[in-house]
Amino acid sequence: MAFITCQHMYKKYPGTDWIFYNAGLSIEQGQFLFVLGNSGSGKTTFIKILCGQEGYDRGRIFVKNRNFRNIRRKHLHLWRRTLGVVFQDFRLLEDRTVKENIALPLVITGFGKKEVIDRVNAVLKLVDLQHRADVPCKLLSGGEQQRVAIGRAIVHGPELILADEPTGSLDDDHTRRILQLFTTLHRRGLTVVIATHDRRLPLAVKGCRTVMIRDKNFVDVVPVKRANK
Amino acid sequence: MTIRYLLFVTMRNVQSSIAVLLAASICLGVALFSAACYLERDSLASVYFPTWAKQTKALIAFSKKPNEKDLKEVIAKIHGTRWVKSYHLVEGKDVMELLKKKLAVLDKTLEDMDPAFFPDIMELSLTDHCLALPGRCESFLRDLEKIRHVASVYSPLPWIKTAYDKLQVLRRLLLFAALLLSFVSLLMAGVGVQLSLGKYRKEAYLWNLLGASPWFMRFPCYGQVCLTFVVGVATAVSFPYWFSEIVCFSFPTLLLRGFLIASGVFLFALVAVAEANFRRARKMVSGDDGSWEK
Repeated sequence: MAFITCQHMYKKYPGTDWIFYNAGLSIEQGQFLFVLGNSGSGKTTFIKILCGQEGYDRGRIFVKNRNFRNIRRKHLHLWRRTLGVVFQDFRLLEDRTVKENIALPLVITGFGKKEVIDRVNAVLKLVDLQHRADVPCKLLSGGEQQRVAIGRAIVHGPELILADEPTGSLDDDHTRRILQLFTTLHRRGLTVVIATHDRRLPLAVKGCRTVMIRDKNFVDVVPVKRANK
Repeated sequence: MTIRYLLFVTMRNVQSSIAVLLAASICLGVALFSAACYLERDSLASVYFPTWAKQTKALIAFSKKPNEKDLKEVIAKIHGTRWVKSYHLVEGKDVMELLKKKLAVLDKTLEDMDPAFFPDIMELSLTDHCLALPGRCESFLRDLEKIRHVASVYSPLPWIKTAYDKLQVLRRLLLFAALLLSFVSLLMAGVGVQLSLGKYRKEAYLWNLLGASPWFMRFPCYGQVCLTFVVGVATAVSFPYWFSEIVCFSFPTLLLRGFLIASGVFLFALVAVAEANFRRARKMVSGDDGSWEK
């Protein structure tokens, strides 16, 4: 069963050309998907549509066979709780500590104190930030902030992780570590969708699927190295 | 944990604009204080007339010692009017004794004088109505002069009337200031909330993306409004009250105490507004009010 299905999706911003024109994409449960595209091709818009930040003009999106349009605005938060989103600009609360940032989704959703502490500690271990737990986020490096953002995205046990340019501002070493982290999460059964402009990234993850936004539609592509083999 | 977090955010929002909100509350307090003074004549009198003016006394001097019939005529005229609170007859010899005590230097001169030289005097304690309508009260006192054996009536009302007319102008200015300050306080409360929401907006947007429920998003806003309302009303009501209490305690005998209280409250409001605006301007210049965030 497809986890998310987009059918004949159309999207444009006022005063601009179509971003998606009759676009279709199906994402399977437990899939590791890279969405490639040049700047301005619509990667971020796609992520925003999936987390309900942006609407779409025409077409249908099904989430576990349920029409996305039928989710009422006041119930949208319930859908968002099943997502873990890593934003392009991290969106961390800079004056709060690493621990508090990671705990935020749990506090918002009403977890108990003990559960919050246990989960945050587990995630800190996973993203290797135990030694920085009580440091305000504004004092962290770019790579550490990225890991905090990932930690915050996974702490509440989401079914789907959406990451928008998660390695955009990182060096090769940090990029490799972040991808390793996503691979670990994928192995645990999570569905991962990463939007990026970097065509080398899919090469670093075995068994992933790659789609490219081309001509306002999603096109399945095969990473270059594998095609050469 | 969730409630604790929400309370923390609410308190932080209130605290981020506390100067503006307090200034707004004080302005509101001044406005209420002034409006109360304007609407209620007694309050106005108590604030703008010194205490001794409320104990205003008129004196009726008799040309010769009045007999019972003369006194009855005067008392009949006084009775049933709203101008006189009480009356008290002082005989000529008592007047002389009183003068002896007060003017000890002239003691010897007074010894030689015939007590009959001093006329009997009737002391009238005037009511507050005389302060409110001094013209009519004065004409009533002038009518008393027409009674037989009444030599003259001494009344402080003419100069009180002059003072009252001048204070009427002040009173209108006060009402204008009250209206202005009410408006300022509304604006400032709005600015205060806006200031704190600027910081809160970024965090609330993130909550929304992370799946916060609608009530979770609204709680800090509602909390802030409730807390501001409670703190604001408490400040607005208690500030003028305690200020006047302190002044009354510090200057128990000062004649223009009421004027000092009113001026002090106004001055404090102006300083509070200036200080709050200065803080806001400084925050805006440093970009710390969240206005740069989308």
